[in-house]
Amino acid sequence: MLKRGFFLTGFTLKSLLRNKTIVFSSLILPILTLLSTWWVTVDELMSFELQNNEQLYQSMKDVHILTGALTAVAITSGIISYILTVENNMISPRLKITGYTQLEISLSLLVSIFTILSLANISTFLLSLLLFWPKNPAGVLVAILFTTIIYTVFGFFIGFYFTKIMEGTLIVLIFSFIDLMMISNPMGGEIYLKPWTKFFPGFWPTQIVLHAGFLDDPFYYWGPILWTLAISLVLLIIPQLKSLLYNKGGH
Amino acid sequence: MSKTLLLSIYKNFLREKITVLILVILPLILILTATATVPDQTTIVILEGKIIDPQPNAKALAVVVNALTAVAMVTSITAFFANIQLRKVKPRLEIMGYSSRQISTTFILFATGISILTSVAIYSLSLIWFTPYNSLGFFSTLIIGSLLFSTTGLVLSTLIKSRELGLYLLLTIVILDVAFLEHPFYSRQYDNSALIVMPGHYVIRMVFRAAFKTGKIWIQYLPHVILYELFLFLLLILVTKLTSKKG
Repeated sequence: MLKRGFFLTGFTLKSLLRNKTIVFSSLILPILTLLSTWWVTVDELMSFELQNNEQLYQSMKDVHILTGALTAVAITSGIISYILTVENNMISPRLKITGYTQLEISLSLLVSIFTILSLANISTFLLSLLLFWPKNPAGVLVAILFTTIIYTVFGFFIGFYFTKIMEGTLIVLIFSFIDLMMISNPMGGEIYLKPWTKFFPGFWPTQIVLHAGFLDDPFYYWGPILWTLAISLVLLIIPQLKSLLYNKGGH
Repeated sequence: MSKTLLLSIYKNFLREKITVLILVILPLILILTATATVPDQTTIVILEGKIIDPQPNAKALAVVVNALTAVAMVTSITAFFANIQLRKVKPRLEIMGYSSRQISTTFILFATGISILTSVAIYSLSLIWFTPYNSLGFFSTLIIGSLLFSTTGLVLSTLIKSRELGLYLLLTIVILDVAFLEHPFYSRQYDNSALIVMPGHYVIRMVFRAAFKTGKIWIQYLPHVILYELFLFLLLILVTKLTSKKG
């Protein structure tokens, strides 16, 4: 069983690395986003507040590099998990016929996503460190990790409702851009920190990254981490509940 | 050109779920985000080294940029889809008796129609939040922008065979160009001449001039836009020829 699982994982990984969209989103997009952010953003001080009422006065460029890293990771995770969910829905019946169990299929998919996203996360993290050294680098890594988790789940969620790749890609891309660049971002001005924005997937990871970037208080992370996990859980449960209620096995 | 063919393309397009998404929801979200995130106060904008006088309202400026972003996104995605659809249905339409020229003309008319429709819709939507100094100029620049980005969508759909990668790349270019690199709020390089390689560089200048300046000053950039459009068109012909040779 283990041997078959390894074979399937290797096969899934190989086909993922052959997919140009995945290569583009996991390697080229983070570089493009971070470098353009670094190049264009004004190096002027800006004043903004954090969710825990902490008032900060920091460079706009540094704020944008941190949030830009999260945007890149969010788009990458969302798109990859969305494409894989849709493709998996199409392929898994055929794999089951060839003898693979649902557990083997799901595990190979998870390991493949984890491997690809780890590469994307590490490259984004290292590049952001090159452009701006935060007060707490580990905190930035935590923020990147939880953005990846929540947007991977978001990709699964969209994949459940939108089976046409064009529609889903568009939704994931626009939503993550608007969430992380405008709604959850201090650059969003008047909308930032409005009570309803805390239910957006990017809100809590952004709070962690800003905290880690400019303050050094790891105890603060627990609240945002729990919020992120709670929102991820809700996004994960809704499709399962729906499929249980309608007994349609996924669609 | 066949009227029946054009009508059936429109009917098919309007039946798709994604049409509602790109024609209605996307522009609405973009313009509403602009109005919700930016304060209602005047702002300093420097264009070609000179401060725009009188100083524009920040909210109006954000609406203008996001209106152009919406036009660019909607028209480029529509053209992208239309070209993919054209490739798919062309052999069947040819069997039905339509000539290659008839089919291509119909699809070009379809994309142009969508460009005009989108520009009208987004122009009307932006008027709720601000009044441009030169209404005709603002409307015209939206149409010009829509045509330019339609051609960008056509080039990418011909150049890249993978639909997802093409759409992804197209949206990355549009968002990066209009909503970020050329955005006076986010970018300190928006007046940088290195950005002339981007499709939105001159169009956004035309839109600013039409929205915040009186007179015909916005027309000055028209030759640059026409030149860029011509370049894209030549690229499109070249890529089409190369890919058809390969095929």
